[in-house]
Amino acid sequence: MADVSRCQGRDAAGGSECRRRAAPRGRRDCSAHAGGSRDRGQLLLVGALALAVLFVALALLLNTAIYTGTLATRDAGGDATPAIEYVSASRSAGADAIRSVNRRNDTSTTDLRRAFVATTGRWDDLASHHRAVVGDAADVSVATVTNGTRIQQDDAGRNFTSNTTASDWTVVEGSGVVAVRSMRFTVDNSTLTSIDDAGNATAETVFHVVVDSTTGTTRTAYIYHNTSSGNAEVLVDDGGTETACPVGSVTDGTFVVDVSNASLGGASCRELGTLDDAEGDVSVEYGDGTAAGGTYTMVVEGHPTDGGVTLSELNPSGSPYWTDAIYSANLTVTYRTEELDYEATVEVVPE
Amino acid sequence: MARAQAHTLEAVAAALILVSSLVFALQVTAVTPLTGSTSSQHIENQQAAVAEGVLASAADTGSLTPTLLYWNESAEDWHGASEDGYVRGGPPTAFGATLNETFLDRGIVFDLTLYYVDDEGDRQRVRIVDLGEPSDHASTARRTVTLADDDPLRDPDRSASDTTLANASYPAPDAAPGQSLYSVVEVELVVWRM
Repeated sequence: MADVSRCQGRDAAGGSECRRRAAPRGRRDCSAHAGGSRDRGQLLLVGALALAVLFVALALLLNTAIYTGTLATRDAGGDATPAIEYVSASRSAGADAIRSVNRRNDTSTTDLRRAFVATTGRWDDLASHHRAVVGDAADVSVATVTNGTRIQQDDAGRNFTSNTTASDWTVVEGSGVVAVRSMRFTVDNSTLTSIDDAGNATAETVFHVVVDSTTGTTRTAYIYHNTSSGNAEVLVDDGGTETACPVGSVTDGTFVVDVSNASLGGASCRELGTLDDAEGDVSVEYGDGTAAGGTYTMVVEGHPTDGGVTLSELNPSGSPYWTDAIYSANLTVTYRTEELDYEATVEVVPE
Repeated sequence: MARAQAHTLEAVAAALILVSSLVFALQVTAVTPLTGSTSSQHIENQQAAVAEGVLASAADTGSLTPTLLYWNESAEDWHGASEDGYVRGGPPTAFGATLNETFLDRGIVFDLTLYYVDDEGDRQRVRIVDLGEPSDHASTARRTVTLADDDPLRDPDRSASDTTLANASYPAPDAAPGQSLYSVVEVELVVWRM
């Protein structure tokens, strides 16, 4: 339209090339010229449109590339690793704290609890300080503490008999005893009964530990010296199947029967680990206690003041004896980051 | 008219040349390991994951704590280290060997630092390994380690010595006197490509 009016305008002014040519043909010429301008306008429009489409397509391509790059490097949601690590660190710190307050052998369950809460609180102060530096808020607090009883014999020269030197006796029993953990014997190799066949262990006078429960199987471990192999051995009877494990190494005439760790003198004995897998009303009995000697320790869940725990064949002090202990604890762990709000109650039971 | 068309075509051609030369110029720019790109972001993520994994496995196998206890009391430094810590690679312990195998042998360098809380409640640091200043694309992994009073310091041959943390002069003070807890420290591992 603009081109056409410009042509007419030039016509009116009388200076255009339309005018200089023959007047009757002037109109035709001018319209022909106007047609050419229209073509040019169309060309420009189409050109501009093509360029516009090209740029839009380019922009889309570029955008897709950038978006792909962003997606490829984006984190897959919130990162829970620090929270999980903190929980696992607080669990092991809690287990260490229980072990250490039990070892210090405080006199009452209240003292033990107070010491445990103090140690856990101090750990939390230090650990959450480190976490705060990276902008994470962490907290550990003691929710509940389960009382327990530690049963122990420290006199390495004594055999595994009761306080009245009874050979077959009940270490602990009662409706209040619901679990047993951390069972370890350090056995004097020279005190063991020698037999020539592991199959005879149940029949001969061989020291044995019986862990009985109302809901599970009765499991028995026999500790003896096998003259055929020349090694000390443990035969585990899980209420049907009998498995014998040879001792790994004997140091200074003693070896450790570690039930929690399922090891015998450092050698793995998987079946041994099942001995303390008892739940319900648990009882621990020793048989033929004269046929082995050394030291031992274990912790049972349940405390005489809570009722249902019979420890009549143990001394208040002097081997074998019992003391107050913490069996386990529940910790409430909270962990907050910019994108994560985590809270969990973890149970801490030392091995 | 033909001239105008020619001009238009010329303009389009010029625009195309301009755009393609820009694209070409972008493509021929030298890409160095420090050039920011999606690929280097990807490498950062990978290295962060590897660093976290190395720390987690060391903590799980129990090789992390002995490295932190590889302390020379009389020299008040790590065994055989300079004032800035170890400057040629990881410490000569099991964890140090893991670090060298995982990172150094693949052209990745690292800094290992121990952080502790001092008596005033401030967070202090001791360098264990110092292989230089981390680049802008470094990845960081952290691990909390609990030290106990009866943890023994290690001799130069990596065996446990008779000195326990409770009666040793260690950078971190006993943060819980009267308790068997000694302190809670943090190990920071920073890795980056050379």
